[in-house]
Amino acid sequence: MRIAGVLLLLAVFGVAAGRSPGAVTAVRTARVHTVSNGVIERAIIIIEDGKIRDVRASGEIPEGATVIDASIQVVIPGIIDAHASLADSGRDADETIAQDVRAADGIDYYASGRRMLAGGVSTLYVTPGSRRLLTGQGAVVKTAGRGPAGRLLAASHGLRITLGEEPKNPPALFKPPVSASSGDPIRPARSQYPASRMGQFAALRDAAAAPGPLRDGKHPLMVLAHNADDLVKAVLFAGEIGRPIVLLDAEEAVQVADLLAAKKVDVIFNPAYAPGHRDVADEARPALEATGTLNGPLLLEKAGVRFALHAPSDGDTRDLLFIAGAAVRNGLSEEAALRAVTLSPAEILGVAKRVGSISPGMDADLVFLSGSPFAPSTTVDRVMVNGEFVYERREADVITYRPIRERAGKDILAIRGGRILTVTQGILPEGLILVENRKIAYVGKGRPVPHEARVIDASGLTAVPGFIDFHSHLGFHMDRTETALRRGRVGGAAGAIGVPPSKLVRLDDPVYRAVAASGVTSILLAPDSAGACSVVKLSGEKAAVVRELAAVKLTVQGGTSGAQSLRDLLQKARKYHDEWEAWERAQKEPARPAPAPTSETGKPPDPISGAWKGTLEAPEQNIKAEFSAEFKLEGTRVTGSFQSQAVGGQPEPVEGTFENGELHFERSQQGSKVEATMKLAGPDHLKGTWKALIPPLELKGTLECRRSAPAAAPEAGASKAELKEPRKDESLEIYRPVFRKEVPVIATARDLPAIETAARILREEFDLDHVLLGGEDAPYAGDLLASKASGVALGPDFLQERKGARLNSAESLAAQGVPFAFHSSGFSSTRTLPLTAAYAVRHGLDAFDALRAVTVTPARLLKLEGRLGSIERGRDADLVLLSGDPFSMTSRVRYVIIDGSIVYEAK
Amino acid sequence: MNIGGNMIWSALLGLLLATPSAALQDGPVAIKAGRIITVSGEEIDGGVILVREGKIAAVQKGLEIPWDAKVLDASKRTVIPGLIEAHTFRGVDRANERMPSVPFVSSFDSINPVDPYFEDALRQGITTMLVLPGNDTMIGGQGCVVRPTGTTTEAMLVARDVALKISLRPRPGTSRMAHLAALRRELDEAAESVKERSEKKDAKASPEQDVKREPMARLLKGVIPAFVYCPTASDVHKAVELAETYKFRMKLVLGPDGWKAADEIAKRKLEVVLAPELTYWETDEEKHEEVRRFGAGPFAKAKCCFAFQTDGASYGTSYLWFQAATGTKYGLTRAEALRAITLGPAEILGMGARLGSIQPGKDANLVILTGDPLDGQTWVDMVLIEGKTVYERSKDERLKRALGKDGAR
Repeated sequence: MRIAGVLLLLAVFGVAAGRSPGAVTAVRTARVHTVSNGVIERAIIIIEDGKIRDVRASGEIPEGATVIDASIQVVIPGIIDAHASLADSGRDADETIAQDVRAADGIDYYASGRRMLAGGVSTLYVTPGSRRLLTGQGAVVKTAGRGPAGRLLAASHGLRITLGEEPKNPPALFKPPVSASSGDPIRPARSQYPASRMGQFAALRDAAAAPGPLRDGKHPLMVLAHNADDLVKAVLFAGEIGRPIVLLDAEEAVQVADLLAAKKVDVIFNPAYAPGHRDVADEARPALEATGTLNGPLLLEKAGVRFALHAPSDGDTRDLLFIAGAAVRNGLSEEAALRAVTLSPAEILGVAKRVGSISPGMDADLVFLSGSPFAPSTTVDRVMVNGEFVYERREADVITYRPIRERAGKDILAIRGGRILTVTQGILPEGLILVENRKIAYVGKGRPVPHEARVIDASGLTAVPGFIDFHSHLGFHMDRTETALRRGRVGGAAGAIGVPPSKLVRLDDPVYRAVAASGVTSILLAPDSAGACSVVKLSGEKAAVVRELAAVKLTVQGGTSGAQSLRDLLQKARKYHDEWEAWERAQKEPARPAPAPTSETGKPPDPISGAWKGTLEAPEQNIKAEFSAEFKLEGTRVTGSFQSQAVGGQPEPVEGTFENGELHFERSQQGSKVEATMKLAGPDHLKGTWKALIPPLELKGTLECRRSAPAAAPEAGASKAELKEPRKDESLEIYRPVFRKEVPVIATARDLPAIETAARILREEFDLDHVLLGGEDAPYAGDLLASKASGVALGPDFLQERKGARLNSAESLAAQGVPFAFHSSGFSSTRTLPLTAAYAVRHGLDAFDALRAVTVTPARLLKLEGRLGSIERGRDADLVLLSGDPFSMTSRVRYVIIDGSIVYEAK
Repeated sequence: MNIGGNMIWSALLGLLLATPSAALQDGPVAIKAGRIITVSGEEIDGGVILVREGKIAAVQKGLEIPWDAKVLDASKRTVIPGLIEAHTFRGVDRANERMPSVPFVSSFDSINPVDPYFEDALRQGITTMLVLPGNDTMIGGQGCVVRPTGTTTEAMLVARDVALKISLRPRPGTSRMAHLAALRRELDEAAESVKERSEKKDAKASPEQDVKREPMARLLKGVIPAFVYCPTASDVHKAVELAETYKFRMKLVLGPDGWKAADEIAKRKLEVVLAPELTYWETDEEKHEEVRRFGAGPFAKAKCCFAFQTDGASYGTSYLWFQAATGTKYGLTRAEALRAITLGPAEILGMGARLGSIQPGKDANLVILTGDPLDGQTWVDMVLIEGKTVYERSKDERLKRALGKDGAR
């Protein structure tokens, strides 16, 4: 359907591209967001000479006009990123004040803007430099258009000033004369302002007094600053020299919003959220400080500050509409969010007479969307700049990797108007969830609500299981915790940390509760490098530990040496595990007399001693179960243990006799009694009957077993006295649950060879359950991963770029049936996990697959599906109630419930 | 036996060719050519070029040869005008000064007459070149037009200090924006000093001429043009802006993607020297694939005056004829390609009336070839500059040594 649409558009494209002067084009649309004048349904836009002549709800199409049929598309103005650092502006002049430097000189006017156009971004504001105080004049430029004439909107607008730490301590200036003489001597290098904020403002005052654009021009000051203090100082300075001021980045503008509103200071706000990346804020500041910015736009709007949103870096420019969507998700109205990336920046940059809205006289810069701007899977289908189509969405823009084989029909799952998304048991349109004793007691419809229950009216809301972040450092506060953790580690494999992280963070750290508001309820807390991982719930006053040692993280390199070092590590761990198991088993065995001194070494092995495995049946009760047993024969006396699900599941010590080829053993305890009689049916083969009395039950039936391992030869030290207690090694200790297959291995494998090495060795050689982390190439190893039952954990950077086209790893893995979970790998970016899933949906992942990847799949991979990841009877009551579909940008989180208590409630 | 035979042949050849070359120094010379590629007009099959006093006196089919003319028999050869290199910084010790603004230096002081570049240029049929400072210096200095023959720079000189080199490529570690800002500051200063001096001239103060500023003054007064190096297409726009602001004449030296600005260049009728790498690979973001770009096509289509240049970077791009042949491979017509190594560069040097084609009145800079100029198997047999024989393949000892006994057939 969509592809057909694109093909249709391509047919039209040929006509529209050949613009000649005086030619009139009419665009029929489904809807136009004019931004300046509301929304017009089924609008017609008339374009002449690259300008919009008219936009109206209906009416005659002028005679001779070329008609563009966009009647299934929504049209918005070209998006404006009001702070980009295009061109080669990373490099600065040495001068701390360089007023005559112009950003317009550094722009490539012939570069393809396709990547930005793909996000609907048609205009940028570019400023020069970033590491000096006053770096020069900015420029407003389009991302498409014919050469400089078609692209430059303002060759010189605004003087870029940077406050904060960056511009402090510039290099000294050394300018030797062309040829030194007595009249023109060589002077020593001249130091420059500023080393401090005092110096910054002194230098700016000097510049404002000297001839140049700051004193003589009409430029507004474009001041980039981060903290509230700098922002206020900048506003005061602008007032002092009588200049308009615009604040750039201004993450703390929220704190001084009232002042900004009163002084009518515009803000080009950095929401500090970059979809598809690990959290940018994490690198700069501790977790809690950065948690406020996602709702920054909402707070600015409420304070009455005019603001534009800009992408945190050039690479994110194409995601600006999605970033605006994140602001919507955090409370901003859709209308305000759209304005913040169109008309508001145009006004702030003084180009609102040409771009930023759809109204007569404006440049015909239009973005054609497949649906509403903030709907979950809306795409930019085409973009028009100056009346010409400059971008068409193409199939080639998306890599859909599939191994070469017969394609099976893709399942299409429709989720519509859902209420309870159970994840494992479908959707209940209008259902009831009962929570009792911290657990889900009932899911369904048609049961009366108990009168003592506290009722949350969830009509109109959607319930999903609490989201699980499969790999997070939340609470580590950058790497300080881990450093401490390393210091505390006790020997062992290189880099491995033997202490579960849940013991090293503060469980009452307020970040846990703050992050829960995003809908994430459980996280796998993992060290950055290698070692033990814990599962923790972000509940209430104190985070709850779900499983202290929930996984073991290690790193796998590709190639022979990588394979060998993994093998070495695991062999060492397995040996350690086996030694301890043997030791502990031996401890459980009852004391026995020392072996008879007369026993001969050449004696044949006895027929009973050793480990046995088999099945037992009780036909009357329809019981059929497996059992295992271990026996030790001394003379005619038999001791050992017996274990079966049929009789309690725990290994129970038993005693008995072996005479004339007949084995009899029994166990009695607190009124219950189990006994069995078996005969040797052949070497290593016993057959017989059993009965058990476990009041009120009485069971009897047959049993049969075979010896799986004969007793160790006496000289191997089978006796307890000779078995030495193994040495404890903290870093290997964590592998014991792994070999018991209670917890998975999480293997960081960054490329295809590493992925293949990890999957093969972990499964084939050691048969360990495992999840691969960080493998960009995982989609290309889909078949292998599926055959080895490997899981994959995908970070926020799951979307990869290959020659300008994008591969959605999540979507490719889903298509190949490889289980995958999303993770944040961040300190505070756990809160953006739902957005990561939304971003994947935006880029083609099925919404249901996305939901599983943050709920049941991580739970299964962690072997915690009995507690987490679905809305089912008996599961932990971890629930998120949203106002709409979980990954729609217009949905809001209303309630977060962990273990049955409400930890977040939207006001 | 074989060796003996070869020796006899070379001796004979030497005799045959030595006789006319001695006589060519004076009196008229008539070249009977199998084929004449005039560049400015039609190609002539079987014609005669008459040279008098270093100039071409006549070119015609069936021209009557004067009684006193020495006859040079090239009836099995092709004659083309001498090739012209419109922009080079080879043939000198170092192409760039370290200081960013040195308008007063001149390649005249740097040209090394015995540099292998000149010898090789002659071997390839290049008879004129403009040697300018390199691309690394903002205001790099002045350039000279020379011929690749002579034992001193004076002897080689055709015209001294005829152009000023300006480069828009920022030095490593500086941004384009800072570079442009610095360049504007230099031009402002020069414009100021020109203004000051003209005011003082009226007062007859006759101040000492500032030799260091003279070249900039000559540029701003329109005496000499600037050759502005634009490493990327976007720099063209800035060069145009500078030339319009400071009102100087300008020729462009382009980078590989300069063709992207061809419309703008054509609109202003600017003359351009194309980058030595005529084709290059670029990622087409529309189609997500690598495509080969050819930098000359758009200029030919827009009927711009353009010239090829060479570099020493690879075997092919070291030779002008190879550049022209590459041009035809990627779609130029033969005439367009040949023009870009003869008349095109002559016009860019402002010497279109004197050089670049075989026309009566022009300098007798002629190249006699064994075959077609765009054929890789063709040899340059003889080169005449202003009527004088300056190169004969039969006497090219270095070539013979390089090719061995079977070479140079």
